[in-house]
Amino acid sequence: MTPAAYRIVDKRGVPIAAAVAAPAVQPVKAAGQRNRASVLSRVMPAGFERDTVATQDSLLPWLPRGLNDPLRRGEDVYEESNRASFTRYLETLRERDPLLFRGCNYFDNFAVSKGFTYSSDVPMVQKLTKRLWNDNDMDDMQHRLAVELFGSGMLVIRIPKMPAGDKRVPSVELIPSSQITHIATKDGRVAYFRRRWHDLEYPEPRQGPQLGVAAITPKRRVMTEDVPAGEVVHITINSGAKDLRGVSPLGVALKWSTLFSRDLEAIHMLSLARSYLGYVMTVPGTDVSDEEMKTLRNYIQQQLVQRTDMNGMSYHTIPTGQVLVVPEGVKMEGVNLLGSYTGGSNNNEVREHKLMAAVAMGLPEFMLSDGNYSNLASSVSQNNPLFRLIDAFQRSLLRAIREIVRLSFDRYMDMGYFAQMPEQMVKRDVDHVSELVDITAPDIITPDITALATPLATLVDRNMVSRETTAGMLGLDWKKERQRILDEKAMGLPLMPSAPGQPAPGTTAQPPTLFSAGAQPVVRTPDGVALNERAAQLIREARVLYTEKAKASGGDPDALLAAASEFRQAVRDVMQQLLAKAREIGQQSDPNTSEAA
Amino acid sequence: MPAGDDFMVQVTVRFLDDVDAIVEDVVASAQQAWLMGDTTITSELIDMDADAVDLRLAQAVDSATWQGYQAGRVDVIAGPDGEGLFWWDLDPGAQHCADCLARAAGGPYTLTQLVTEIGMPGDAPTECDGGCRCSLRAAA
Repeated sequence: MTPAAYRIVDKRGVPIAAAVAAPAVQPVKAAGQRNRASVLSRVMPAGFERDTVATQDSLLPWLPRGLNDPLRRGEDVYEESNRASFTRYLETLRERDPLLFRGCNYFDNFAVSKGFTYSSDVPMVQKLTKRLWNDNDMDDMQHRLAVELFGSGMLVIRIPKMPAGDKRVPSVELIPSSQITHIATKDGRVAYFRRRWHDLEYPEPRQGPQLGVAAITPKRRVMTEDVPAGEVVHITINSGAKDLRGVSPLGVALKWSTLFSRDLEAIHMLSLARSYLGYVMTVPGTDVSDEEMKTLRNYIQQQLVQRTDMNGMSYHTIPTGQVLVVPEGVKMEGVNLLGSYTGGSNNNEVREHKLMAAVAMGLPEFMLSDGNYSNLASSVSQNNPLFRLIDAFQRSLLRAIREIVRLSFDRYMDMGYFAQMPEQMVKRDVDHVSELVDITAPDIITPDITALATPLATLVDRNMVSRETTAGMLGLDWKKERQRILDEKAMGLPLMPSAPGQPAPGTTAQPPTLFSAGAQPVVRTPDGVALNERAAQLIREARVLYTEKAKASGGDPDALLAAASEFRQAVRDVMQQLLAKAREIGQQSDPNTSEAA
Repeated sequence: MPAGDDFMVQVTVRFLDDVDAIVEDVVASAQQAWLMGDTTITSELIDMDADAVDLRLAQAVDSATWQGYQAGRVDVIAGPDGEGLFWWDLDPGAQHCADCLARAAGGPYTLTQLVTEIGMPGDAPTECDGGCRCSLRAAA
């Protein structure tokens, strides 16, 4: 039987084109040639008559891309020739792909950790660095630097030159690498960075609640700027001789991470699609030609639903989520078209895709897995390469921050600071004032104090390493700790012996103190007053007077020198009187005992 | 001439030089601070310097007190004829440098040895230098 017309419908079953008149049935050409329609009408079961078989180009029409080209997702970004647009794509994917996001996050949090710190023993340098650090929120910027460097392979940080007379803190601006469309060179050196971005100009904010819903539409303007290389700190990673831009591990991991995602999608789709697949039905003790078998077949066909494939052709299939009712004794099982494609960690192919992405980012597998393939030994042995990579990455960040400080101090010098070179620069033989700032990177792993304490104490006892070094290895600030020890000594608290559980050599009941800290035997006047305390009090009073005069001087050199001269004379007088009085008390002391009076 | 005069002269010159150096540093820092162009920052910098100066001078006072006291003990132990002998005693509550340990292990010393070789606690060529809290005692 020939249908009057073909019905072409969309996925909702709504006709999308006018019915097309059915072509005329082909006449029988010769006695030996069969009419196709008549052949089909004989082999197709009742209710399935049609002149043509429903076409289905894609074997798995429910997959977004099918099996024809599983790697293609729209435009092929792997062939992207524009590094800026590729970087923009990576920025987007970092927000979507869990492997790429977490890889970036690990390097950021391990490398930055508690944060880089700065210090300087030159007060002015310390103060200027503090203002630079706080005004530019460098504590937050460290994380942005890490994410940008790992995510794009490059840092472009702008510290613009200030206009003459402007004494504001130099501004540090991290330019997104995706905005850098070109890096222009001249004579083999970088001359400037061309930057392009979209500037959004929003309307002025309205005050208070407003009635109704109002749209907010910013004006979008494309802005372009050429940033001179002299204002830029430019840092790259993984760059070879030809590279001006670095290579991001995310870009290298992208392809395999995408494949891994699609593997998981396919596994999920297949799980759903199993209900779409054909079922093999076996009825024990029956023959397909039996009348009862035909009745059963019709019974099942009545439960089928009509669906439409991607080409708009309709077909019948078992409904998803529905229960297919069959008589007792009938066995139904799904057709497994793709064999043992079960996915998960048992599937080596899927695991290899994930491993390739992990290799690109330098992460061990156990950091990206559920631990099926890791135990303690493998976790520890896999760690070392990772921490070496993180250490190298941290050094790149440290270099970036040092360059930021260096360029910022160039701006300070343009403003007129450090016209007179600080004496520490001469003493330490450094070339640039920014080298007086010590930038310290945080520990990647917290030191294990319980493991380190005993060996370090042994090394100190044998004079092989200083206390200051061991304090640093334990993550402590030696100057602060020493001061705290002195304060506790002053409070009369017992000090810890030099080695745990061991008394210091030569001592009896009293725990030892550091000889350089001084056990402070007190020299007292006959009326019981501690001589050094009285002298210190007098000197402090002179110092307070000097400080007030220095602040009031307004920078007048003569006034400063006069105040300093008064201060100097006052301290010299106190010191001379102190020495004379101390000698006098010594002359009156008992020569046969070494204890202080 | 009292026996401790040599030491006293050395110690006095040294501490007065230290005072001059500290005050010079303070003035230089104050001049730099006034270049900031912001009175708040200048004031903070001057206060920071003041804290450092207080610490340095306090340490100098402690050392000067002890060394002056020891110079007096040199006077009384050496005696009017300068023939007294000296033991070098360690402070039982302190850890000691190798130089002080060696001095305590040796002796007794004459005044000449003290002046030419051994030195006086705080004014001796020892590792602990001005922080030394050892003391001199008369040998019986």
